[in-house]
Amino acid sequence: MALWLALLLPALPLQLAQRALPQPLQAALPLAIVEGPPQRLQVSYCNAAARAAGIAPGIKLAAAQALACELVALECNATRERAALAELACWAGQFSSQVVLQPDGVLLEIGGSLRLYGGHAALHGTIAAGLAELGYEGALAEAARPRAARMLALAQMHGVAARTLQTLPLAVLEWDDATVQTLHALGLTTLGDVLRLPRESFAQRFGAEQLHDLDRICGRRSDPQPFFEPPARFAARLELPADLTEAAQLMIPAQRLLAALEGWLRARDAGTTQIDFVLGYSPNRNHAPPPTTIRIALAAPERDARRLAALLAERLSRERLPAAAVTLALNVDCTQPFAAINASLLPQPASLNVDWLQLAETLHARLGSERVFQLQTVDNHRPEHAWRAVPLALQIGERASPPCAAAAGPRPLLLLPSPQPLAGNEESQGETPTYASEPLALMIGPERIETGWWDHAGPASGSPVRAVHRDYFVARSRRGQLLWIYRELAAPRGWFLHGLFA
Amino acid sequence: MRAATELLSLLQTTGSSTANARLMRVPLWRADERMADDISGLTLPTGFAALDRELPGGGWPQGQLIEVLTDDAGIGELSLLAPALAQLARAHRCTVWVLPVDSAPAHAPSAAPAIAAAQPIPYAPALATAGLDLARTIFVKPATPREGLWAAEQSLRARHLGAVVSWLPPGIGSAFRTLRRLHLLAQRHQTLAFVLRPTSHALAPSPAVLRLQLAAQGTQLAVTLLKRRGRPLLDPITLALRPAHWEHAQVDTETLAPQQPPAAAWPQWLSRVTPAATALLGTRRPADEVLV
Repeated sequence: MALWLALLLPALPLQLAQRALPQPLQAALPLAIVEGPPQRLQVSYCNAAARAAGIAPGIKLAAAQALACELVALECNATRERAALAELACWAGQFSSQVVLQPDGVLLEIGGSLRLYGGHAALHGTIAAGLAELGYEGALAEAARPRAARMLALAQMHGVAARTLQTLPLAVLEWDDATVQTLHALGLTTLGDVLRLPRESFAQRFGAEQLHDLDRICGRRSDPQPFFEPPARFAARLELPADLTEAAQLMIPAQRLLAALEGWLRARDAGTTQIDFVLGYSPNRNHAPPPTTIRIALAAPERDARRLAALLAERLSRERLPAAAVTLALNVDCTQPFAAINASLLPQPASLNVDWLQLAETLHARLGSERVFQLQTVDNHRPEHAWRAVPLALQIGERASPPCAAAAGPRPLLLLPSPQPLAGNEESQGETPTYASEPLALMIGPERIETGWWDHAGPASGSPVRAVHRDYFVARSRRGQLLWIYRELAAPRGWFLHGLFA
Repeated sequence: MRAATELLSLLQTTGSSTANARLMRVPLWRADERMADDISGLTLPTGFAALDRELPGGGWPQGQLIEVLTDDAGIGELSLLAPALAQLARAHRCTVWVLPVDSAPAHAPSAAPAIAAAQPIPYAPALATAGLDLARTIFVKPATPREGLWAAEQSLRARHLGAVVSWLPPGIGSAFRTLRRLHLLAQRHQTLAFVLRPTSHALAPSPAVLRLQLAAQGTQLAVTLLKRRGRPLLDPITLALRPAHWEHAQVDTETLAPQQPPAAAWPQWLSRVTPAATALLGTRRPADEVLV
């Protein structure tokens, strides 16, 4: 059986401005939404702080500014509201595949989702908690018909405690004022009164369209709805009404956007590996700093808003913003199928992997792939080519090294990135090398490594030939350090330090 | 209470030798004994019997900060840790290495100017030979000391992590507070936490439960326990980390007679390949190519 849930957001322009603000600023900052011709701007909505300063809907902007000097006045913007409703519909897609856009909210068909979410109360709770994460306050009501659900939610918005359709006031019908006034003049105040009127005479007096509307409310006439099509790319944007310079303050609007993203990804049963945050700035003396893009790349598809927020916080703490941001946008271009971590009978391996992935991603997000890596052995006789650094694996233990032939001689635990010439490079053959101006005692050796004759690097890389002709020794310094040194067999026959037996 | 008075009267009335005999049966810790094993918690054998004997609990304490003070890279500081890390690898536990910061070398800043120029990196083949699991090891090369500390802290927060080996960079605020943070984080998931620092910090106060100072003694390693739970140990422990035959090994420099460097490392068998293959490889003489 179809069951519709209406989710309406009262005073949407004001909520849009408020949701971008952190809680303490929401309560302290007087905020007013104004509309009208530019010369006669009127306050249409204002928040509690503005109301406390004496501002009420209907007064002029100039008067409001006189009452509260730090008043932030924002103009109504229908495009922004439509975008916000589309974002809400994207988010609501996780609860139902049938979402209908309304001018001030959305309608969801939840009959098919009740079992999944564990009943009416649980679903209501989940949706209400999700709305709070998005930063909205809304009215929720459910009914068997979409029109009725909307009317019950409207009644809730206006503070009318009506549980049944019969007792609803006529205002929630959203008919034109003349009709409602005529009905009031006839002594009819509730929907029940209107429904008791004879059908034929009602149609003659008020028109067939109104009768059809009543039929749709009662289910006597079908009421097809145009469903919302979620977009293939996610793009959401928030205007920041106050200057937010600190990273911690920016996290609040960012969390709102990430909550919407999570809903959209859940609806598509997907995750994403790359999200872009774009911070826009207001022009200062006709010069606007270019927008900052913060890209968060993930090792595995992710959709958990809390984890994404934690990664963003790491990035934001490093970022230096050129000015106070005025807009925050979140874009996701591509999605990947999301593989949830399944509960297993033996929990250890799965949670091990989750731990590994979380640690790898946390390190990777802040330090980048050049600074966080894993090592692999490579089957090569040349010591400097016998290893390589590889990016972090997604799966624990994935970067297993290929099997390698055991080295002929001892190998040091620490290797210098490039061999360093040692003093004692005299031409005299058999001269012992010195390290830190002390002679070295050769202990083990020589181990001849003479290979790589086929390997020619391009002119771009440092050394033209990567063939090695070397005699390796283990040497001991006066301080007791064991060093891995070699003697070049080619022309200058120099001694080089290559490793440390740490 | 009654037991205590009994004990007192016993001490007063009987001779000292009998009192000692009676006290042996009372569960009483005396200051000249090493602390009982159960107090020190989880430990992991170090792989060196001589060291295990002196460590409370018979091994590296898990979930406690272990400070390793050493100045000269190359005396065997990593070989000392390797058996424990190999043991963790056999148990499929992961390890994170926080390497020294490049710009400000934490290791051997004055003694070895040649090394300070570019920090050495752990060498994968040697690590694999030592029994470490490279597939379960993450290496972090921090750009700043703060990043290194952050990486070490994040790693200690992760559950199921076996060990964190970190070169503590100098000059991050208060070293004591930094170490204390690491120590508390290590307790969370019983992680083996090694911190490598220069010996100049030997006299500075530290929250680490176990502090070792390393010095070379010939090819062996002398480990001084600066601090451990229980009775202090004054004499250093000498550990043989290197193969036994290295002890008196010496290369006879006379045998390193000057040799003619090879004109070209062109293998012998190539001279026997067919002319077609030679044409394929190019017309240049191989020696010209190798000795560019």
